[in-house]
Amino acid sequence: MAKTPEPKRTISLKPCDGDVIEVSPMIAKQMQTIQSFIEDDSFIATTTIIPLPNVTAFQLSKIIDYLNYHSNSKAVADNVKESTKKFDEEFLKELEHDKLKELLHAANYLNVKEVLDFLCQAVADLIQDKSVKFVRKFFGVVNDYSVEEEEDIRRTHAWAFEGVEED
Amino acid sequence: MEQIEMSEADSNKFQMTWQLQWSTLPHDLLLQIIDRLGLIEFLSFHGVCKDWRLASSISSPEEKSRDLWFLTYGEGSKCSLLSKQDKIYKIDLPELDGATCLASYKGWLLLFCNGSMFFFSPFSRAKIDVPNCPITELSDHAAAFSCLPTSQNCIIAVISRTSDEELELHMLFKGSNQWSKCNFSCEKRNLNTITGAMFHNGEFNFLDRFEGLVTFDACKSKEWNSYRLVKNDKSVKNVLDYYIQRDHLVFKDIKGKMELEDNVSITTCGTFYLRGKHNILIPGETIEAEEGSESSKNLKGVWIHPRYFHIEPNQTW
Repeated sequence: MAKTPEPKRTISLKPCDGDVIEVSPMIAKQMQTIQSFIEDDSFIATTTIIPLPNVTAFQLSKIIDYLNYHSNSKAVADNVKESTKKFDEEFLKELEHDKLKELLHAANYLNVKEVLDFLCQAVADLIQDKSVKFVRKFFGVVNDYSVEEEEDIRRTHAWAFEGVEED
Repeated sequence: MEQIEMSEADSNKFQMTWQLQWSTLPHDLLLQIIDRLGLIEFLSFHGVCKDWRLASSISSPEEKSRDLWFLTYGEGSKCSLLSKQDKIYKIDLPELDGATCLASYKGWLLLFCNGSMFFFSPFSRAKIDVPNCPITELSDHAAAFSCLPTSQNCIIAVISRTSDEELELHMLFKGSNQWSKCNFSCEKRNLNTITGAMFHNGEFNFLDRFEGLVTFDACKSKEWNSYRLVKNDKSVKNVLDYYIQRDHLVFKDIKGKMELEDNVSITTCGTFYLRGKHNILIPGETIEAEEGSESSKNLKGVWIHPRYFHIEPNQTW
C-alpha cells in the first residue's frame, strides 16, 4: 500500500464496526460519497472523521485494497494485465456470495465507480446459466409472483431455461 | 442501562434497513447489473420478482457490442436459435409461421406475412403492426429501418425493381399511415438483386452481391446516388465508413453448428451492427442444398441482436 509521507493529509473514515481507517486523498477521491464530504466547507482533514454507518471495516478495507491495487497498475503491459486478472480473481475468491452482495451495496453507498463496475460484472458473471430460483436465493429476493403469473413467465421463456443449473 | 438499550435498538434498526435494501435493490444498481447480462441471464432476472421485472422493463440497456445470434425459421412455428456461445435453443414462434424477414436491426425484425407487415421482437414477442403494407407479394424486395421502431424518428424503406431500368422505393415515417413512393432510374447492371439494405448517416444504402451501391438521403436532400464499389484503389477518394461481411454463413459454419442436414438450403436476411468501433453490414445470402441430395428442405434464417424489448401491448406504429 502506497503511504503518503505526511500522515496529516490522509482522510479518516470510521466504519460501523471498527477503528478509524486512514486513506490517501487519491483513494478517497474515487469514493464519490467521501468526496462530497471533503468538498464541504466544514470539513477539516486533520480533525474530521467521516462516519460510515452503512459500511463495515471489512468492506471498506476490501474496497481500499481494490483501489490501491488498480491505481498502482494502470499500465497496459501484458504482464501487468495478467497479474491484474489474477488479483481480481483472488479478490472475488475470498468473497462468499453474501459478502459479495454486501460489498456491492457498500460500493454503491460509497459510490466508487471502479469497484461498482467490477462487482456488477462479477454478479452478472455469476448469474450466467443460472435459474430464476438460483438468482432469487443469491439475492435473497422473495418471489412475489402468484403461481399463475410465475407459470406464465416460465412458459413464455421456457426455451431459454432448458438445461440450466437449478442451483 | 439505557445506553445499552439504545444501541441495541439502533443495531436492530440497522439490520432491518439492511435486509430491506437487499430485497429491493436500488434500481440504479439493478440496471448496472442488467446492462452486463446476456439475453438468457436477462430472462432469469426478469422472472425473479415484480420489482426486478419493472426495473428490467424500464431499462434500455446500452447497446453493447454483443455478437450476433442466428435464427432459423420456415417450418411452421418451429424455430432454432444459435447463441453467440454456439448453443442451440428450440423456440416456438407462431408469428414466424409463413412469414419472411425483410430486415433485422437492433434486435427487431421487420416481417412480411400474407400481405401485411409488422415489427417483431422474438425474445419478448413484442409486435408492432405496420399499416397499409405496400407489397402484395414478395419478389426481389429488400427493406431497412432507420432506428428502433418504438422511436419517434423511425423510417421504414422497402425497395424493389419494377423493370431492368427502374427501382421503386416505398417509405413510411413513424406515426404516419401513408407510404410515400419514389422511383429511381437505375439499370440492373449498376445494381443487381439487392442483398444488403440498411440505414446509415441519414441515408438508406442498398447493395447487390457485386459492386453496386445505391443510396437515398431520406432525411435532407431526398437525393439518390449510385456508386460502384472498388477494393484497395487509392485514387478513389470516397471511402465507405462501414465494412461488408459477405459469405458470413459459411464463415461462421452455421450449417455445421446448427446441425443441419446436407439437403437443407437456407436463405437469410442480413443485418447492420456495430462491433467494437466498426459498423458492419452482413448482407442476405443463400446456401443451396448440397447437389444430389434428395428432397431438399428450404429454411429461412436471420442474423439478430439478442436484445429484449418490453413494450406495452397493442402498441401502434
